[in-house]
Amino acid sequence: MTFRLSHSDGAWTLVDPQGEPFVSVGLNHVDETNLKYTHNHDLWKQRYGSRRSWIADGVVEDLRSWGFNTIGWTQEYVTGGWGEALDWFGAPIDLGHSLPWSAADLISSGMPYVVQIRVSEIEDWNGHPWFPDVYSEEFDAYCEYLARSICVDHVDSENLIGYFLVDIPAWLPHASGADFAILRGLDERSRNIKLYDVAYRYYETITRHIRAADPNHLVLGDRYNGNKGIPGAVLTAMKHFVDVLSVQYFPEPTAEGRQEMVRRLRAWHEYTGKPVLLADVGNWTPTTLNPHRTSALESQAARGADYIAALEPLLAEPWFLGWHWCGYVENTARGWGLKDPWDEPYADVVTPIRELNARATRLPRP
Amino acid sequence: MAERDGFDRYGGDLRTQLAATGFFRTEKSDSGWRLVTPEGHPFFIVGIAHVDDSALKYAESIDVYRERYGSRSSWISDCVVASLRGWGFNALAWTKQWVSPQMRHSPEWTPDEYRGSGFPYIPHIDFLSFERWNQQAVYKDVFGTDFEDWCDYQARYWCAPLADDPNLVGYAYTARPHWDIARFREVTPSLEGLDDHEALRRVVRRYYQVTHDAIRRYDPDHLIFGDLVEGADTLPTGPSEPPPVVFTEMGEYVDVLSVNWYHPFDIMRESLDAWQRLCDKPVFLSDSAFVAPNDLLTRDDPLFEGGWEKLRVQDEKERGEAYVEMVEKAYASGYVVGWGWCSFMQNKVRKYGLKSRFDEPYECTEIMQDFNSHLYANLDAAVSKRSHRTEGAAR
Repeated sequence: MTFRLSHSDGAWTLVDPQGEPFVSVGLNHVDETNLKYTHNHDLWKQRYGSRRSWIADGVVEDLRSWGFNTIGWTQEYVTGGWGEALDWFGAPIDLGHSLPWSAADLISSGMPYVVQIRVSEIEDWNGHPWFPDVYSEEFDAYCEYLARSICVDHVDSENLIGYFLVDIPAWLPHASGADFAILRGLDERSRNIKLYDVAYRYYETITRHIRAADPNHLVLGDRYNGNKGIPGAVLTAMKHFVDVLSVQYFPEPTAEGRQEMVRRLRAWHEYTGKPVLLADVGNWTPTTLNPHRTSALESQAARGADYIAALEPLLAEPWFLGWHWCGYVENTARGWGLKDPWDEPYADVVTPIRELNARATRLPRP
Repeated sequence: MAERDGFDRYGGDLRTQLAATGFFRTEKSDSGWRLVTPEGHPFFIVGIAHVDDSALKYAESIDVYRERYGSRSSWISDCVVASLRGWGFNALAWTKQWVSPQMRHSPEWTPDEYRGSGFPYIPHIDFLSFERWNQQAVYKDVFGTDFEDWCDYQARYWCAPLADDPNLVGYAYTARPHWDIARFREVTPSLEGLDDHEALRRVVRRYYQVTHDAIRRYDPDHLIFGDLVEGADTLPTGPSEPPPVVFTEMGEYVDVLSVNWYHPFDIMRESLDAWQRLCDKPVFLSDSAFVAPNDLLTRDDPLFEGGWEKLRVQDEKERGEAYVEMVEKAYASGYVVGWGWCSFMQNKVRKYGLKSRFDEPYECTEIMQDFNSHLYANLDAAVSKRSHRTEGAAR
């Protein structure tokens, strides 16, 4: 048995392998190297001493304690300046990301988890994007390799929720100016027409190979950049092949900003007919190690209140499957997390998080 | 690693006892360069490069994977390590494998996988992906803080968890880096006004300094094998030629000169002599092979074009014999300290390995096993027999 979707009377539910409703409340960017800087490596040695211990006694212990039920996308933002606002249309950025957890690590955690299949290196945070020729033998062969290589080790896993594809892919033009070769130089209308063809081939190819290697699990799709926007042509192509509409969205920490997030997620759901997973959402405030991470939230307590204010309304939506929160241990690149750089939880954040997570994961679906 | 007759637990030569430091190290004497195991015994690497389980996960071979192994950890211990031990090889010499027509490569094994293998290993660290064969090669400003931060991340990922592992022989970097100064200029404002030679010299020096310092921040003890410098052979992406400045500038920051060159030893010899003198380091032949036609590889396969025909042998027996000849000649040089044989298992793009994609070993492994089982005695006998050693470099 595996995680599956249930749809009745207009309401979508993620169902766990035991047949129970499951709201996926996950934590993203769970990376061990955040505790191996010169400023905290000794602490990691004292507390854990091995990756296995860190996973069992650190990650799983924390997530369960705080009411998270899913290990989200584990790769972490580890290098690259991001001192400006979240402006995806501004100057290109280049944010280095850590390597993902292995299948053995994910399976050994004993927790529900997700896996990413990085079809193409076209993320909005990637300063050196590589747009493939989706019509080529190379693209087909590489997708076949990815599915064969990755899915075989998860095909029998009860804890795998599903496969993500690319993190915030640049379906809208990339800030660097790079694009799919077939789309270069086209005006917006012509680009949108061709974009549908490109996206259709992209999703058709990778999902065909995933389903061949693993017919059992859900395809959670690209983790769209909701703040930047998602082209309708891509959503129209995606819905033929993908099970879940996964969107990253960082709302402004205001009532209006939070309502805007709900409105936009609802609109994308209505456009595609797919249930929605909020694949990456977070907030931040200045800290001792990262005083430059300013926002409208002036304290860790304000972050905790924002967590509840932003996410609780989504639980009433019949198309909503869950959220994955951004950041575990604070590092020097991302600059925020639920634990400080010395592996201590920010109590003012995790206390309200624990409260809402408990309500979310025990809540009967509408 | 279980001890075999005449070998220590790392595959070192029990006949000679040298200083034991708990880590692999290099040693230079009047008789030449050699590696020494953590227990203080001379060590010559007979390693394997490109070890990836996706070769056993094709639709036609997945049943073999499931029936024989069933998991990656079992595949590592019962397929890879068991095979290498059985054949007498003594190191994993990086694991990324060529997996798509345009030479995309699989990921490197994780630190836990290398360490858990219980076998000597040389992992590759992705400090900068500027391989000549890489369609997505990236050039960065090696003088910038982003590059420093990235190297520090890589060192936290690789070196922090492996710093105390005696099975770690050392760290290697990029396979066949393309030192294209024009590409570096595009991302490096501080090179403005410098001529190409001086600009490249500064880039090379800074690159090796930053990578070295990142490793040493977390691991003061293990060897640094550096980049797999490309030899003067030909790839589908064009001819290669390593700039001499690479050899002169790396010397301060690496312990071993690793060379990736797909040619018989006699053809490489003159260049290797010169490069080795430029940096005054022992040489590791990091990645090459001899190849015989098989079910995926005909005699006229494009793989054998552009100089690579020199790798082609008639059959598996000749393949094994070519292996023996290459190891003997390399050892006799007095400065080569090992060789990484290219590819553990055949897949549909590389097409050759020591096992087929159905997990069956090729006949050449019998000859390799016979030679490796008495590796050091065979090498000493070869030195006595041959006259290929450089003057004054008799071991």
